[in-house]
Amino acid sequence: MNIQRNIAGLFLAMVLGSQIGCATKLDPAGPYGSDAILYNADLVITTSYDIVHTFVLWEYSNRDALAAYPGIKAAADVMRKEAPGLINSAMTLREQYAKEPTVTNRLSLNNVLSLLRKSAVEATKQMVEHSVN
Amino acid sequence: MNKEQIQQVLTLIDVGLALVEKLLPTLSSLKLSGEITAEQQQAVLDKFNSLRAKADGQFGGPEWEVTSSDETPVESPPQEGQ
Repeated sequence: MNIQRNIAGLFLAMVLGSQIGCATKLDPAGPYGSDAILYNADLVITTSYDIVHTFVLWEYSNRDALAAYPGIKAAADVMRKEAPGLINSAMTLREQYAKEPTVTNRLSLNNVLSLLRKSAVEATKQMVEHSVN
Repeated sequence: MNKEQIQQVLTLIDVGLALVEKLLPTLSSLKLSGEITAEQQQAVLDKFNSLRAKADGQFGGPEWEVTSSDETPVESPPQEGQ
């Protein structure tokens, strides 16, 4: 069961990590026009926040039940320290890219979005792998 | 299955439901292989603007506080914007 759960967790995490923010074609009449990069950035930022928030809230709400697995709290604490800075950085770089869609700004934005994806994947893995034992 | 294990199963169900609820809009949009409609774009933009409007408030709940093992709050570094 542990192996199945780990595989399921890894699979889900891989799907999330690879698929969050992969839209390629936008209706040009929409608010993003045809800027898929900006749309994907907003999708990654909001989805990553939701996932990481779900994780830290889950750990906080079930701390007693999860006490036997100190790694979960450790992982949650890392996200508590890192996620605010990452999210704020992503928002700032997103704004910079929106104002000046240069290659440099796009690369900076992509870098921080990549870190956000990793946080979301790690949060998902932790929740799936450690929810039942 | 003892009481603790039952509690953990219930925890899993809670987490699963919360996760599905959070991810459903995203997964639904991913399922669409065609064009992202104007309405779908607006929904993402609204969500982003809502998150941005909260500024650091989105990290203000007790679930974001780093605590030691004895539940004593530990002072965390200021979370300034970039």
